[in-house]
Amino acid sequence: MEQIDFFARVLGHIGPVAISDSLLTSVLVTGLLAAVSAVLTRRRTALPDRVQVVLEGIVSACENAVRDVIPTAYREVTPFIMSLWLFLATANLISLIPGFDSPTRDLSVTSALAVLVFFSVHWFGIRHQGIRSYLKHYLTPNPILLPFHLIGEITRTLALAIRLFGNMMSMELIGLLLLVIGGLFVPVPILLLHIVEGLVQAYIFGILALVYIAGGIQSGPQQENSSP
Amino acid sequence: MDLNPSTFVLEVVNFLILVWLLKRFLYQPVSAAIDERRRQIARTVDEAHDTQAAAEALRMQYESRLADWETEKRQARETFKRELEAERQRALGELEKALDAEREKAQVLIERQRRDMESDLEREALRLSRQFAARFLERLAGPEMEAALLRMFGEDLAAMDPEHWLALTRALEEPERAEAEIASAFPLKPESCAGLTRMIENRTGRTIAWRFREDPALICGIRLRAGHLVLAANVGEELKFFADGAENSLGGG
Repeated sequence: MEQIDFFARVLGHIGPVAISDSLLTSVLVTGLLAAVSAVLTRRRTALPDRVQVVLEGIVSACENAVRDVIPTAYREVTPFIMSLWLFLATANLISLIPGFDSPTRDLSVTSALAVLVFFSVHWFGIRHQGIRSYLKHYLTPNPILLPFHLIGEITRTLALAIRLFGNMMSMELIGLLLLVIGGLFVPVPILLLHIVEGLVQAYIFGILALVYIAGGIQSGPQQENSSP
Repeated sequence: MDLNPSTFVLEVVNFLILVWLLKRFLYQPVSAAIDERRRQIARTVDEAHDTQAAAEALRMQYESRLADWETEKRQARETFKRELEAERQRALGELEKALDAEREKAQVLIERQRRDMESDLEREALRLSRQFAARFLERLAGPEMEAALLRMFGEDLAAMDPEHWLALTRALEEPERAEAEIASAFPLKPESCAGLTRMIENRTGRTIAWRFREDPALICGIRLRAGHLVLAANVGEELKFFADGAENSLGGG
């Protein structure tokens, strides 16, 4: 029996930089999303056609979701959250195409996204509150809670990365095992479940990132008592 | 399952590029289109509001104008009613006057007809009374009554004023009237005729050519015609004289 290389493979090196298949797939997804967006939004009309309606529906849905959580800064946060959703949805579902593997089965990819979320929380928080006000919330309600705050920041970032990685890897692993054990058509129901799972994981990752960013923006003393 | 630092870093870069690309090619254009459409909808809504406000103003204006028209119409109707009432009163007054005139005219006509009827009735009564009297006197008429009338005629002549005798004399002086006629209903006795003629000739002093004749129309009595002068003492002419006098009195009344 041929050994199946399930995890991310390094395809080659450019100098000291290792090029993995998950990275290539991520770049491909990025290029695909950018190209499709550029092509489809090239011709915009006041009376939208079906394609424009779909695009406006996607953007409006993302924007409305972000605005419901962060009414004050949704214009700034929406591109980041929308990119997370679109990228993760595409990346999670690309494994349905034969010959492609989901890049989110690679812990390096999910960790990179989780780290980006981690930094985006601080970035948007500092932009909206100022660095002193933002850092001050780590000392409230009592400075003794600072270590717990820091632990919370790290653990939720790790949770983000590992949750996505674990779910996607497990789904793909199950499908692969079923394919190896049962044959060609046995994993089909699992693949259908994989579609739902991929979309749900993308949504969960994005919405958690949105909640974390909202917490960073509204964590200052002035915003503590304000309703979101 | 190891964490590959190269993949990690390049994935961060890749995602940051993706964020920039999607913001550049998807979010901004679509948001701009949505915003532009919202602005256009807002402009349309504003224009609709302006149009609605203008329509409302026009509606108010038209309602005000309609109210003015209604007031003018009501005033015109009241004026017309007043004029109509005045015209009706005037026409009624004229009609009342015309009716009064007609009534007076009819009253005069009725009065005249009543008077004419009364006159006719009186004339008829006179005619009937005359006929009655004539028929009654015709039955009473006879030589005795005529002798009495002749005697009365003689007494009247004897008692006649000189002026009347003078008139009789002058009537007998006319050349063509130098004769006298004595008419009677019954044949006169010769002595009666002689006495009468003698008295007249003596009083007038003239010899008169007497002519005697009988006239049944006299009913009873005699009639002396001398020239244009007529002296009578008979029932027929007395009745005629009475009837003419009564009719004259009716006509003059």
